Amino acid sequence: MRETAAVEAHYRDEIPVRQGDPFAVRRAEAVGEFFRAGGFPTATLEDWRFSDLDALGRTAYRRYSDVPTLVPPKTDELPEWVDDFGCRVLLSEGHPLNAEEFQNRNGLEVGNLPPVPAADEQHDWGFVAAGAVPGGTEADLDAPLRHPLEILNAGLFGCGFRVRVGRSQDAGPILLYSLRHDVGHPAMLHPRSVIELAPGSRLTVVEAHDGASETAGWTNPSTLCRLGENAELRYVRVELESGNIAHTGRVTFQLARNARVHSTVLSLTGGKSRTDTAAILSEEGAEVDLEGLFLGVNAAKADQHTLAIHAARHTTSRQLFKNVLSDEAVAVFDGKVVVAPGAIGTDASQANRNLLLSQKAAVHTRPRLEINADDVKCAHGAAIGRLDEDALFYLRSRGLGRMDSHEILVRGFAGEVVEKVPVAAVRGLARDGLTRVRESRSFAA
Amino acid sequence: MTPLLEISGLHVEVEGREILRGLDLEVPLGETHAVMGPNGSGKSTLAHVIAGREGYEITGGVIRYGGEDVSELEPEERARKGVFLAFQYPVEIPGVNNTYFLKAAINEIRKHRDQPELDAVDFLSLMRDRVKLLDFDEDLIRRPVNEGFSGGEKKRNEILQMTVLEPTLAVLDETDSGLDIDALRIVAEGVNRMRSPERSFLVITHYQRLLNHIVPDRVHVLQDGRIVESGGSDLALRLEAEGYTKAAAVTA
Repeated sequence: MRETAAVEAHYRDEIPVRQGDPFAVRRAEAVGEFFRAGGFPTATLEDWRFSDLDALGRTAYRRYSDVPTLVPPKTDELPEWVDDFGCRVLLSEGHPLNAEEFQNRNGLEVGNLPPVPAADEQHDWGFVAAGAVPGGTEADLDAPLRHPLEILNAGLFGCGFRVRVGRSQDAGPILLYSLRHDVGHPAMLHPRSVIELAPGSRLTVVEAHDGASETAGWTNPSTLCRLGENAELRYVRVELESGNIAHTGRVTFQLARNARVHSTVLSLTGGKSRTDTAAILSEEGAEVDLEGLFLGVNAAKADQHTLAIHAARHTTSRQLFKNVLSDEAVAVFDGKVVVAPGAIGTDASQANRNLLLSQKAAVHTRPRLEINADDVKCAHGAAIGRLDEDALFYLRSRGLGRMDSHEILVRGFAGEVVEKVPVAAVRGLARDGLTRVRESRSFAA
Repeated sequence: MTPLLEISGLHVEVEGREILRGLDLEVPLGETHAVMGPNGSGKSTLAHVIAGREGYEITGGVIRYGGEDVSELEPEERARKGVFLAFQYPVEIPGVNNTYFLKAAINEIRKHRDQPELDAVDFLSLMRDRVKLLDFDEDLIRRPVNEGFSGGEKKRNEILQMTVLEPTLAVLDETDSGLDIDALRIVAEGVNRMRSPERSFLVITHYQRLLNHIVPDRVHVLQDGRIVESGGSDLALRLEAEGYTKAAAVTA
């Protein structure tokens, strides 16, 4: 108990103090709420069974801004693919590198979060009514924002991105890029991003988390995307962190009438990550595609949690998550669909497909459906398999080598997700990931 | 002259069961031979073992191709030397584009022959030419390999691949099964157009029907894992009239 108190005291000390912050008190309350609710989730909780987050609670992470030795990186140490984006916002160790460049151009606002939020933006900053989960009859539209690590992020965030697209504007692709380094000290980052699409607008946005660290690190970003009527968002999330960086991220989509989202989460992590993707279809005609691909080598682990809440009539969600696992990589897929009472005409589907390239790789998959309305269509399925011997022989009988045949089949499997990614630079990153799979120890062994 | 394909005393086991039991077969270069036999006689095993399928264990005998013992070669090594198998059940490969796959294959084979690789333009014009000859739906070549193809389209795709890869020995494993009469004619024309003194065909079939269109130089009867009778193309007609049991009885 005393240990827990010490951990809580540590995190309370880490709350960024900024003059004029209207949420200074709420931040302290959020951190308190996180610890009152049990603190860092342990594997004994159903929702966290395979997430291995206990270690997070045992490390005294500190915010970057407190690390005195920090030298902000130069722009020329950014990876080349970043140059493909005309419009990009860059963070290094949570510090803005080019904050002013893209403010307010043609009805498009792209930039870093203001150092001090406005008082009427509490929902954006993650401050929602605590506790009080409705008893099964009503859909809880704020459920994703009550995620424990979302609450902790609200308490601790000190950096992030903001994108606003004006009515009927067509924008993108925009890159939101966060890079971190080894600072020789266990450092944590709690970025928060808000992406807002006015009615009838369109946006393609890429959110990328990059960096490597031998010293333990933790990245816990929250992203909230709010779409007005008929707005259309193509969202791509790329997780590139490696080494000893633990990643726990969330992205939440709120969709108004006839709004559409296509989301892809690419886990190219070399470490361990957990990502929660949630879509709240709160008005008629809203439609969402949630897709994901994890290319796992060595001991990498990706834990994908999804939640689609159908809270209005005639809403559609389609989920497709694929994992390619070599070596000792581990994938988790926990996908949930909730159909609220009265949400008739809901069309929901969910698929999780896994390709195991090694005896030691593992998958845990769990589809969950909660259907509280009639006249709905819900389909789900999971498949775990190895490369098809017949297909391998077919390719080899045409002259293609053993390794090449394996690679062609793996690329074909991943292609279903990769080819739909709307940004060429990101498709390139996925192909690099596939090359690492080919070069992995267990490949075609 | 050494035959292009020379199989002698071949014994093959699949999952511990002996399927081929001392099979002898010779196909000279430039000739088309048919192998006919009832279900379960070992026809498909013969086709797969020539192509080098893993899991087909040769427990005796030898397969020579162009005078070389190829029994231990990998399937891709045989393909690069000019062996082609048209599958009885062509495999669907989701996510792998037909054109991409075939371009990779032809360039692999060209590399082996010390020919320069085809670029995208040359390859596409070659494809277009072959597609037209086979009356193949051009949309299909842009789709994933065999995915969603009808039975007839799959078989035609096998022949399309054969005409692009231009093998020296083409083994057709029950290419006629599942084809209607029009598709059968198109496939047969595709094969006949490729017949040349520089190329041999081994046509494996259950029915004589295909051999009306592809008239073989020799016909062999496969039964219980052995060639039990060989003859001219009229042997196929006799088999059709009398059935395999009687033909075998005559030989015995």
